[in-house]
Amino acid sequence: MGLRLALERAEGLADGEYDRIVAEVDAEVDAAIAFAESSPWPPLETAGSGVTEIDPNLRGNP
Amino acid sequence: MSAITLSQAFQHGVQEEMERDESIFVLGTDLVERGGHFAQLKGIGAAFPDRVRDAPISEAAMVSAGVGASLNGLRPIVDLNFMDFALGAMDEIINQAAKIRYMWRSGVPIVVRGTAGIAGYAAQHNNSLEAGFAHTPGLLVVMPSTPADTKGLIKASLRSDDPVIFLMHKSLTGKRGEVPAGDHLVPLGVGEVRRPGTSVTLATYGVLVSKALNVAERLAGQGIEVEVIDLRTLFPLDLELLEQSVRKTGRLVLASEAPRHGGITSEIAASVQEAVFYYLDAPVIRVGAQHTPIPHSPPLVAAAIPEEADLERALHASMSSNPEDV
Repeated sequence: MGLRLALERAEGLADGEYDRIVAEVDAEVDAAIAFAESSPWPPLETAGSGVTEIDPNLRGNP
Repeated sequence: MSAITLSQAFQHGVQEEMERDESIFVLGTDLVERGGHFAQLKGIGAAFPDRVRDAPISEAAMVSAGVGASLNGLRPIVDLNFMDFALGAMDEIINQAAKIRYMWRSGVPIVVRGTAGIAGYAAQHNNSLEAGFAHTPGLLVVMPSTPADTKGLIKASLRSDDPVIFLMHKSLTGKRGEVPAGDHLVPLGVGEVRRPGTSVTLATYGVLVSKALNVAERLAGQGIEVEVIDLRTLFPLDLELLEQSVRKTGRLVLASEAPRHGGITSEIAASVQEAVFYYLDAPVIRVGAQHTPIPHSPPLVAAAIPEEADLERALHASMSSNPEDV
């Protein structure tokens, strides 16, 4: 409630604007969660990849 | 080719890369006027007045700013003068710089440079932190022993998209050596045979390389041909070079100025014996410092850290296949 009041007073948000922004953010987060939950688990061989750009096949970088 | 100091070689490499790539800038203390405590960036402030910044002496703030800059398209060198004080920036180095690529697939092209190793100044300025950095996934760790490699490795580091911990031994910053002119690059992760030999392999890095070469010359007079390997990069390690050498000599001595317990030499000993155990004619021997903070008293320092006599004793022990001789 504090954020809503601050934005409405300082930023001059119109009536309903705050609720619209919150609903938009909620929808984006919900979509991201749904995407993540519907996605397959990553292949196990990727656990050790993407650590460095340098050639991961160097013997010192197993 | 010209004979310049290791600090000058670093400065040459940085200057060439800054001329080549406008995204490189330097952040640290005592840099603009003084060029750093070891003159490692002398003249860089005048040459690039908009790209060299003196910062308040907060290692955490400097590395934080560097990580942020690298995520926004720049290539910072954060110069900490003494790597000992990277301890004040460990969250930024280990929890941020080292992990961002893995977590968000974004490169962190930052070089964190500092002097390392033992050269007086007592305990708090004489930490050997290289094994800890090399233990951290996401960091590359280099420690050159010659001016030529210093230039080549800093140039390669500044073209890497990974965070690089660049360690320069305090005692070596004034060491002179020939340095190739122009675009001299030393690839990260590649060691170098400094002296070929057939009797025993002695692998080391940093300040101990020249001591290893001195000992090797002495032992040659006794019929012992020591192959001296300069690791140059501590992560990734050039294990292939070490294994090739051990297949030839059958004996391996590893030397580091860092405390032996949990050091990089322990990792190499384990890795090499896993790969070429049946080529070994003697136990792998590690030479390192005592498990103590570095004392202030010079005689105590000499007693605590490896000297040429320690290397020589270890090599003889390896040749006699009796590690109890060390």
